Amino acid sequence: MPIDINLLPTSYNLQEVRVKKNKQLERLSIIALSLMIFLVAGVFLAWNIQSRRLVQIKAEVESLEEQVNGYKDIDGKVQILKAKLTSITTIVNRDPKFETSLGILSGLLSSSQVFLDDLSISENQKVTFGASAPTSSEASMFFDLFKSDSQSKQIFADATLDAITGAKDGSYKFSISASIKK
Amino acid sequence: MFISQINLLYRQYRGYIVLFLVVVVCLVIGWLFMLPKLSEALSIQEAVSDGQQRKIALESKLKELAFYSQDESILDEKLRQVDLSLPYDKQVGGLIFGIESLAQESSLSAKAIQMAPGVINPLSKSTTGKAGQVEVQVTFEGSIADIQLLVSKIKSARRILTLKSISLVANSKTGGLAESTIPMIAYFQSAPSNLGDAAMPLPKLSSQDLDLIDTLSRFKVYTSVGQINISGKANPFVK
Repeated sequence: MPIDINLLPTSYNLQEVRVKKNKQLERLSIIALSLMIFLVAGVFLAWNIQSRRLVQIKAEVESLEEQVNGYKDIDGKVQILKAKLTSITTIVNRDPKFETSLGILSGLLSSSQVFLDDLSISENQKVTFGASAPTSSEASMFFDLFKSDSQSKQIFADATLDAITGAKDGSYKFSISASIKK
Repeated sequence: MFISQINLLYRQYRGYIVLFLVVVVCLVIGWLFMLPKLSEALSIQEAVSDGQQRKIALESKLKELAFYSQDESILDEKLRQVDLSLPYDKQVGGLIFGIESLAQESSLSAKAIQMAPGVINPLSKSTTGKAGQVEVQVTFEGSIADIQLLVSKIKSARRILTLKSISLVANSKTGGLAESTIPMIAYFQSAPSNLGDAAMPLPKLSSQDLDLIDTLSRFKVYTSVGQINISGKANPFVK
C-alpha cells in the first residue's frame, strides 16, 4: 500500500497560515514603526534639552568671565609675581661656586709661601691660576696641598700642574688648572 | 485581470509589503532626520561638558581672585619685594650705582664699567617667558680677599646678579693689589602683554615662593652711592 508523504497543508490551511503570517508581520511593522517614532522623539528631546542647557551654560560662563575680567589687575599681579619667583629660583639655583673656589684658594695660598700671579674662573667651571714660589719644591708642595686638602678635594677635580719654570727674580713660576665639581 | 492579480498578490504578501515599507520609512527618517539631529545633540553635549569644565575653572579662579582682592596691599608688597630683585626693565642706572656701591663696601674700586650688548629676550610677551639679561663687565682693583668679599656680597644683594667668570692679575706695582675683570649678569622681567584665557588657572604661590620672598626681603639694596647732586648747565655745547 502506497504511503502519502505530502506534508503540505491543504489549500484551506495554506490560506489560514498566510493570513496568520501577514498579521504577525503587520504587528512587527507596527512595533518597528512605534520604536522608530519613540527613538526620533527621544533624539529630538535630548537635542532640545542639551540645546537649552548649552544656552544656560554659555550665559553662566559669560557672566563668570565678566566677573574674572573685573579682577584683571590682580590676575596680572599674581601671574607676574609667580613668573618672577620662578625666574629668580632658576637664577639663584645656578650658583657657580665662585665664592667657595676663591675662599679655598685664598686659604691655601695664605698657608703657604706661594703668591698668586693671575687667576681665572671661567663660565664652564674651570679654574686656572698662575703662581710664584720661592723654590721649586715649594711649588710642588703647594700642588700636593691643592690636591690633598680636604676642602679643596670637595670642590676641585682633575687638577693638573704645568711645568715649573725659573723666573729672572729667582722665583719659580707654575700654573695649576682644575675643574670645579658640580 | 492584471489588477486582480496584483490584488491577489497584495493579499497574499501584505505583511511583507507593509514591513518593507516600514523599513524604508524608518531608514529615510533615520538618514534624513535622526542621524543629523543625533550628531548635533552629541556635539552640543560635548560643548555643554566643555562649558561645565570652563565654568568650574572660572568659579575656582574667581574665588582665588576674590581672596587676593580682600587685601590687595599684601600682594602689592610681595610684588614690590620681588621687583627689587628682578625689575620690570633693565634699570641700568640703578644697576651701575649698585655695583659701585657693592665695590665700595668691599673696599674695591671699580675702574671701568662696560655694558655688554648681550641682551637676551628683551621683552617677554607672556609670564612664562624667561627673564631678560643685561651683562656688565666691571674691572676692579683690590686684594683677593676684597674680591672674595664682593662675591659674597653679590650673593646677598637685593637685585639678582650672577657672575659669568672671574679673571684677575696680581700687580706687584700696586703692592699686591689685583686687577680683576668680572662680567656680571643682571636680570629683568617685563610684565605680560596679555593675561591669556580668563579660565586659565591662577598660578599657585607655594610655601617655597613665600620663603623666597622672605629671604629676598632680607637682602641688602644697593642702588645709589651717597647723595648725587646734579646741577646741570644752560648751554650743553659750551664749557
